[in-house]
This record gives sequence, C-alpha cells and structure tokens, in this order.
Amino acid sequence: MSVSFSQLRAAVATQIDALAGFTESRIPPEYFGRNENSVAHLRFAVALSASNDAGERMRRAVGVYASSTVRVIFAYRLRPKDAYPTDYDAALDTEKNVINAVLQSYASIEPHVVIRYNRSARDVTDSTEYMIINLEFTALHMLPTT
Amino acid sequence: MAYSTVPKVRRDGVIQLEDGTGVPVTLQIAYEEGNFTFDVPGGGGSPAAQTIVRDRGVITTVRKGDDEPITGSFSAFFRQFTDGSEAGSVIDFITKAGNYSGNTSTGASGSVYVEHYCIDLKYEAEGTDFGDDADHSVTLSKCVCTFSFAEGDPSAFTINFTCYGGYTFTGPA
Repeated sequence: MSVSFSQLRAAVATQIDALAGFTESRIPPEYFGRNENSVAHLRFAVALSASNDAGERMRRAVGVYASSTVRVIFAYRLRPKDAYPTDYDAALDTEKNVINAVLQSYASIEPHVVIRYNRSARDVTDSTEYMIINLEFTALHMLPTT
Repeated sequence: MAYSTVPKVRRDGVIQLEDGTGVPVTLQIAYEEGNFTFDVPGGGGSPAAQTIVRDRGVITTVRKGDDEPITGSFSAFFRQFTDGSEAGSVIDFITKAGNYSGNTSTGASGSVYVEHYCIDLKYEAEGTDFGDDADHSVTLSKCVCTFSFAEGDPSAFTINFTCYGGYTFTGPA
C-alpha cells in the first residue's frame, strides 16, 4: 500500500513520458536550464521539492501518510517567426496536456497515489527560444516505514 | 516496576472496534488522524451528574443526579463507504452493514440493555515497547455510534459515540 518518494517521482514521470514527443531530462530539475538547446523541446523533469506529514496517526505498522509537493518542469520551443502568439499558445495547450496527464489515474503505475494541481509558473528565456513551464502538484501517498 | 516515565503520543495508539460475538469480530482503525477523545461524566468514579443545591447562591449541598453516558469521537480517513465482502469499513462496522451485517450488538445482553446496535470501543496505547510493564487500554462498552462525513484532502468521517456500559481500564497489575 506504500509509495516511496522515488516511486512517486517515477510514477509522475511515467505519465508525462507517455505524451507524444516528451522525453525525460538527464539533468536534475534544479538545473533544468542546462539542457542542450538541441534536445530541450519537450524535455521535462520531475522534482519532489518538499514533503510533509499529512496528519495521520503514523502507527509503526501503517507508515507515514505524506503530502508531497511535486514539481514538473518542461521546455517548449518557440520558433523565431511564430514565437508569439502561435507557439506561445501551443505551449499553453501543451501545459494543459501535461496537467491532464499528471492528474490521470495511477492505478496501473502506482496505486495509492492521489494528486492535485496547485499552480503554474511560466517564463520565456532571454533568447526567446524556449518557454519554460513550471507546474506544481500535491500528492498524497503512504510512505513505507518498514 | 516504577510508574511509566514515557508520555504516550498518537503513534502509540490504536482504536479497535469489537462486536458482541463470543469471540468478537474486530476491526482496527487504519488511516486515521489520531484524535480519539472520550468524556467521562459525573465525578468521583460515579456516572451520576452533580446536582448542586444552593442557598441564595451559596453552594450548600451537592447531590448525585441522573447517570450520564460516556461520549466521545474519533475520525478516520475516507477510503470506501462500504464493502460487502471485505473487512475494513468502519461505517459498515458501526452500522452493522456490508461485510459486518452479521455482527452481534454488545447492547443486546446484560445490563444495560440497549435496543440500538452497539459495539465496544477499545483504545490501546503501546507501553511495553517503552519499558512499561504492560500496554495500556480502555474499553468503552455498549457504544451507539453516529457518523458524519466531510470532503477534504483527504476526506474523512467523524464517528461520534455514546457509551452506556461504562469503561474498563487495563494496565500493569
């Protein structure tokens, strides 16, 4: 019944990886901007930026019911001649698809994960070549203690 | 051995529901906040209310009034409302439904007779893991339970109970 931090992170990555064109970054999410431009389009990374007790009794036999903040970051390429509004809107539509993917059922990946969308933050790089989208979710999961 | 020097915390507690079968059907509550409470009315070991008699505002006599039942509550996270074949539903257990439809009321025999379906509630706190001579428990008898439901993250039930059979503590002899 338990889902470890790494299993949770991998489960969210699996959902996004199933989207057409998306590939997982080889660089940790905290250094996402260091991805090479040539492969940055639809590159993504998943971070567990924080976890907290979710207010359960926490008996030894049950484990820790945790609330984890899951951060998803991905890049979308803005073509020079269509950067705005065509590709900008396409990036926003892709963001919607990522949110939808993350909120899908985890029954076939890691049952016992419940996840909610919190917020988005968007930024365009100085070169205007990429839009970087940060998504934040909250996941409830039972952390094993044995 | 000396009286315990270790205050107990939520992690040490477990709530167990028991029916009135000879070998009781039991359910340990999992996925819960750890907010079990109960209030023992009366005073001095008696369930009788305190009837205060005053003479122009000055207390002159305190008499035993009507017996009052024990009341309390706890909450449990919502996983399922019911299940016809699998154990685990606290709502099924306290309403004699689903997998627990064959339960026997603890209020059907003995004194006090309670017409409503009753269960016994046992709260046990770990003791021996901390060097105590025994674990520590209280059993509240003949409890009639009601419940409410509230959505949230996570959604939860609150179970309120009124117990007509008194309480029994256990601990080191």
